Amino acid sequence: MKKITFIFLFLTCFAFGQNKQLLYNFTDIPQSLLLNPGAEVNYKWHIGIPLISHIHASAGSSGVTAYDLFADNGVDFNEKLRRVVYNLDRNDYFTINQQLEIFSGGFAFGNSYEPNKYLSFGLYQELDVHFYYPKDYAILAYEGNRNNIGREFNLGDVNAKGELISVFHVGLTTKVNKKLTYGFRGKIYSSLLNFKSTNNKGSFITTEGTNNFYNHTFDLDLELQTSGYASLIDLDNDGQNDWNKEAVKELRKRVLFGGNLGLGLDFGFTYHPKEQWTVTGSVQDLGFIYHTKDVETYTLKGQYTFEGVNPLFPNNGSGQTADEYWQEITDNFEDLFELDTISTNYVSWRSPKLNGSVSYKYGKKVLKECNCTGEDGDYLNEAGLQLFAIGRSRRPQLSLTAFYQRRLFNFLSGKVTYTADGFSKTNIGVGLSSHIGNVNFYIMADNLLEYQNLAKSNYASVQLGFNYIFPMQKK
Amino acid sequence: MLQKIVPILFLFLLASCVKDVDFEQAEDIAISPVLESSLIFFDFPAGEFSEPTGTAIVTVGDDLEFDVFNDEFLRDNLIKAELFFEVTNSIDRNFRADIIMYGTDDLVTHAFNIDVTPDGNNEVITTHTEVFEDATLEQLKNTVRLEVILSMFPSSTGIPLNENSIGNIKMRSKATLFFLIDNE
Repeated sequence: MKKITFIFLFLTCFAFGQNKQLLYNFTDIPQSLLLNPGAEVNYKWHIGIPLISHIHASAGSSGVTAYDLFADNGVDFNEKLRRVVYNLDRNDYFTINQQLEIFSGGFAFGNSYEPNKYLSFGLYQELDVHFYYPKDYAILAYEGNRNNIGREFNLGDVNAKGELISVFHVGLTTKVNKKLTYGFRGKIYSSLLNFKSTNNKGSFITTEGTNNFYNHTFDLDLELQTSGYASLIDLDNDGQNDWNKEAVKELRKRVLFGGNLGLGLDFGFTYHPKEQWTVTGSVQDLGFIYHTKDVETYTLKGQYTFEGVNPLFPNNGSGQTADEYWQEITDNFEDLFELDTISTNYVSWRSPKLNGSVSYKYGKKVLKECNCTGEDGDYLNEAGLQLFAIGRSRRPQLSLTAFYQRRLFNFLSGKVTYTADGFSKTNIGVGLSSHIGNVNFYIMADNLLEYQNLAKSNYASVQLGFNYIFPMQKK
Repeated sequence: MLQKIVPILFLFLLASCVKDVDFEQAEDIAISPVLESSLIFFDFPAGEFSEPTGTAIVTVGDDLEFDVFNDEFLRDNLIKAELFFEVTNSIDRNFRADIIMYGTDDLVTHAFNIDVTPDGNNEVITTHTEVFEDATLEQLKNTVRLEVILSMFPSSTGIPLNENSIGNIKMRSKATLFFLIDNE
């Protein structure tokens, strides 16, 4: 029980999302190329400082906050729990997303006078977990079936997937002319761990019976696919610490193409219909992983209706004794709830992401010497709208962001975002990117309105990183 | 320099701002679902009990493995159980249903009976609720085998039952299980 409580606690506190609205199209930062390989590049080459070039973690759950459940407000915990159990919808979700760039870099090439291509590459690790609130299971566990005679509990409410992967990627960004830039990025995924239970069907219902008070009807068609998991469980185990060490060692082996492999593609573009207008779009992670190694699938399938035990009287025509009859019922139940373990290969699709934006730049810097605006100078301000969508098992999740970006000083730019999505309608974020010498440091966090008390927020994210960037020579 | 900044930033970002919450509350978790399940049922015509004399006590019965209450989850979380029986009789005889429960050592853990009286061949409904709490609940949790015996008593008129006798005896039953799932 304790374990379950803490897992629940952990999940309600740290649920993560995937939208990186602050980083998107923040072209000073090389990692924006990971969101749109067709983003504009204004530097000659860059290297991410290993392990700290991109650290991303973000937190969100669509229907509940840690405060809802754990507020220290004198309301009985079980009353708060009751509200959460009933108020959440089966389409409410929890997600966890974390990324760590291991290395990255890139360089411009092509036309020697004015390089028009940029090759970027790197390796990052990503953890992504997403699950829906299994409402009918929660209600059944919370209330039992006595007050729910005739109610069909949907066993398809369990819908979850999780993956720990490493991604090696190479991308090419091409500047066609001043107006148009496009790019592609190919990815090789190596899955360290994967679980997926997204195609569950079935029901449990108690109805008024004819021979007895009730008929209990079970209709199960449940499936959990895993890869990379069975071998971890089988590791030599001399105590928990030892197992942890062994497991980490085993997972590390899979980082560089050692796991189950897959392929993916990103593509995107930037277009200026007019000098001050920018339109961008990108698709990320259009790809799959094919799981063949260390796969185990658990299934629970079958139908059974139980109406009670008809004991007594070996002469009831069947020639069965009650004990045999009872044995048959127990066998039926055991068959029904027996987990079948099979090793079949399976494909897991990555959750594809779609980004788009429209923005307008204005306000050139006024030069002191002549009290005029620089000819070629950049605009200082940019304002616009961004759209983000991610494909999930039941339906895509959308978010809309309004942003304002400004170059504050020569060495510092900032971006403010206002985002509305399934987590929150009032998510304000701020990002800063500085260039001191050739070192670029950026940090971004959102949900600042709730920042004084993160427990009250449905979503929060943070990203930061260090790069070494060698700028274009001024002509 | 970097090694210093990064952990400080992390501390600031992660630890600064969770207020007015008390995660210890989770220790108080207590949910109390109530489950209901069909139990034993039968339906027999009078002819089943035919005997030539009309004066003998006819008993039928059988026993079955019944160790669901011995389950670890039920042992820990079941706080009360009610077994509800409904017997519908239209045979013109007195009946008695004995329900006898045995533990692993074959000793009786708990027993009770339901007396059924007739009203000619009119349907008479007799109900019985056996409540298991505290000491009796322990008896239920120690049960692994159940014996059901149905006895039919002689007729006052001495007329024996045969294949053409009219009436039925029916039983329906259900268990209501009260749980308290908490952190203890």
